[in-house]
Formats: sequence, structure tokens, C-alpha cells
Amino acid sequence: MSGLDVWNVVYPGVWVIFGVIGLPVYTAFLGWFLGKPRSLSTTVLGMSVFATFVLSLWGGLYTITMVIRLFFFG
Amino acid sequence: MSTIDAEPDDILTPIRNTSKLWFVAFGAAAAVALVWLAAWGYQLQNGLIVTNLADWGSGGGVTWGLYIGAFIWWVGIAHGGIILSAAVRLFGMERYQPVARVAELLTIGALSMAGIYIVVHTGRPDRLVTSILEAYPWTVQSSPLVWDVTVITLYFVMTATYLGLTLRYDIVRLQHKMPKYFAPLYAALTIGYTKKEDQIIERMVWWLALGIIVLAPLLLHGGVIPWLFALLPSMPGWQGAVQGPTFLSIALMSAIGGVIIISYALRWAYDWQHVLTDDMFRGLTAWLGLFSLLFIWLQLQQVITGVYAAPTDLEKLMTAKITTLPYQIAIGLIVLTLAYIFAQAVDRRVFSLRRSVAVSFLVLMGTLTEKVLFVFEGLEYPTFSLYHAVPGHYAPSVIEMLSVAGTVSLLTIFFLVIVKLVPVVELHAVEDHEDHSEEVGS
Repeated sequence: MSGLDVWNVVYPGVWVIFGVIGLPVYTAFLGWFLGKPRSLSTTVLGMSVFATFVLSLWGGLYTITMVIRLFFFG
Repeated sequence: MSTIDAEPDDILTPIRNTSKLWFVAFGAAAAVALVWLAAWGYQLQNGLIVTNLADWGSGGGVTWGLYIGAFIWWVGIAHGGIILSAAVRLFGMERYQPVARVAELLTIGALSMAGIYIVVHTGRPDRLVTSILEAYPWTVQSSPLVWDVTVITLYFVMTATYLGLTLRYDIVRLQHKMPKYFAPLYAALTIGYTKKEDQIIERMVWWLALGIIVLAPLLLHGGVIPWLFALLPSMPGWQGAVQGPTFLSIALMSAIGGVIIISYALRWAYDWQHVLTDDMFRGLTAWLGLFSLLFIWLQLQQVITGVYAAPTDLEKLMTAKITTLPYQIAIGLIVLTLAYIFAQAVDRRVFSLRRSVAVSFLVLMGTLTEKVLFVFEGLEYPTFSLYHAVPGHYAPSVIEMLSVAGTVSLLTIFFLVIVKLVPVVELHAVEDHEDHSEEVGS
């Protein structure tokens, strides 16, 4: 079809980040849930550690930037 | 089986003994870090104009300089760590097991320094988090800068999870010999521990290692970060598919250099000749040589295609690049490194730990110089001389240079503190244990 720009339908970041870059992460998580030996409680622990680090990273960064605002741009 | 002739108590030496030298090192690193923080405070008060990176009106059109070059450099250093550790787990390279955790910690520390550079390089860092998060659903669709932030977050979190899970085994078994005042920290790190989890955790970190070894080298430093530059068609110095492999080669060599330096410092400080062995350093030195050779080969590719029968804009950029003294020095440092590594491969008597550490420093200086030049020369020589009318010429300011000393000091402090908290050599490396490599991943 002439005139159809595929990048306006599926934006590059959508498939680059969630389709390609995400693959190793999906693979690791699938391995956690489907590989053997496995235990749901240990897998949940691993997911919790992962989520905690995401929140700590961005929470910590947010706190630092707010401290900078307080001292320099308040 | 244990990979080295050492006892579990050996790996607790840094936690149990604190010498005067530790305090001196901490004090010196803290002093340098404070000087830089003061300089950064000055920058925050007066704006990025103090570095000539504020806008298009100064520095010959260059708005990315040492800060972005150092950001790439730190992300590169972060790579070797976790890749080395993942290789131990995935490919059974047990020779490097004693240095695996040091390497993982280097990844966490170096990525944090890279993150600091993102904050430092923004004019209004206080808006950084809110602007990224609010606009994420839209910006992720098209902005390589947001892809970069996404992948670095994934890389950091996967590495930290990997480290957090592997520490549990060691802490549970060694906690009774570790300081009581850190008990709450150890309790948090080993929450819900049961002995049955050991094999499951081992398998889970195997899967994490698999994910990381694909994500970090191929999709981050050989992917998203070079795409930040290579997708800009008006900058001939940045464009092209060769940037991915080039970035990756620089990452791997600077990372191995970083691991060699930190491992040597630990061996020297704690008499760990039997833990971090000569044999391991020989192996790391050989890897450093391989990646340095790869780097020189990729530079050759760019120089030949850039100066001979090249498009005008590319030829102008590449001619400027190869006639710049800092570039020649950077390449010279890497060639010198290669000469040593080749010589010690031919005649083993040429090898010495100090020489390997010395060339590791050369590699780190060479890669930082090359990366900074790559960033600002790319902007200084755009297609059609876009910024021809912009006055000035970029040179790193004192504040920017202080940031390198400051972040190196912060990383030093990070290691000085972490060696007091947890074992920096895996217990697996010094105890007799069953090899689970056939079980994991099934």
C-alpha cells in the first residue's frame, strides 16, 4: 500500500524496547517461572527484589533531584 | 570444588580488619569528592554556562562534551563486571570466580556514576525524574534518550537482583563471623531464607546471567547507547553501524581494566595472593589484549573509510580527528598496552602484576580520551558545517575535569564501604561445593 508509513502505526520505540530489548528480560522471568527446580515463593522473592530495586533506583533519584530543587531552585 | 587454595575465613578479612590506610584512603577520596561537589554546586547556581555547554552560542556549537563522554565511559566500565560474572556462571569460567563479585559490584558502582553524569549534565536536574516519568508513554515511542534510560534501568536492576540473590547464600553461612551491628542489614538481605532455596536461587541467577549477557553488551553498549549518536544523520562522526561494535570494544576493554585495578588493590591491601591469583590476572590481561586489539581494528576501519575517497563531511571530521594530539595519544596508549600484552604472551617472564595494572590505567585513560573526543568532535564537525558561525572552540572546563576525579573518588568510597559490609569474594570460590552447572538452566 503506497502512502502507508509503518512507523506511524507501530512507532520504532514500541518494538525496539518492548519487542527486542525486552526479550532477555522476558526470557529470564520465563526461566524463573518455568525452569526446574522451581518454587513459587522463591520466584516471588526474586520478583520482589527486582521491583524493590526499580522503586529504590527511581525513588532515590527523585529524592536527590528534590533535594537539589530545595537548595538551588527553591 | 573450590577454585582456589583459600579458606572461607580469608574472604572475611576486609570486614574484620580495618587498617589506618583504609581511613587515609577514605579521607582522601572524600576530600576529592567534596571539592567536586562544591564545583557542581557552583554549576547549579550559575548554570551550565560555566562549562560552555549551556547552549549553541559558545564552544563552537558543542553542547555535549566531557560529561557525556564520561557517562559513556562509566557505562562501559560497568559492563565488564557483570559480563565476567555471567560468563563464570554460564560458561563455567571458574578461573574468574574469585573476582566475580568484585566485578558485579563494579557494575553497580560504575552504573551509579554514569547515572550521576545524567543528573550533572542537565541544566535543571530537579525536573529530571518528573519530566521523564510523565512523558514516558509518548517519548519511549521515538526517543533514543528514553530508550537509553529504560535499558540502563533494566541493566542496573537485573545486576542488583543478581547480586542480592547470590549474597544470601554467603551471608547465611558467614553471618556469625560478621559484625553484629550490621545484623539488621543481613536480616534484610536474607529475609525468608530456607536451605531448600539454594539450588533454586542458583538456577534463577543462571537465567538472570543469560538475560544480562545479551542485554548489556549487545543491546545497551552495543545498541541503545551508540544509537543515541548513530541515528543523527547530520553528524558524520557519529553515524553508521560501526558505532555499535566500536562502543562495545571500548566498554569491554575499559571494564576489564577496571576489574584488574580493583582486584589488584584488594589483593595488595589484604594479602590475597592466594585468593586473587597470578593465574587469574594473567587471564584477565589476555582478555584485555583481545578487546584492545578489537578496538584498534575498529578504529582502523573508521580511519580508512573516513580519509580515503570518503564523503566530504566525513573526510573533514576524520582528518581533524586523526591529526588531533589527544587522539594520537589515546591510540598510542592502547598500542603500548597491546605491545606489553603481546610481549608477555610470547615470553611469560615479561608478565608482572604491576605492569598489567599500569596498562589497565593506560587503557582507562585512552578510552576516556577517545570517548570525549568522539562526543565533542562529532558536534564540532557536522554536515554542511551547520555551526560554522558559532564562535569558540570546546575544551573541557576545570569543573568538568573535577567531575572525573569526583566520580572516581565516589566509586573508591563505594568500594571502601562495601568491603566492610559483605564478602567481596563469593563463598563458592573458596569452599568445596558441588558443581551445579549441569542442573541449572534445565
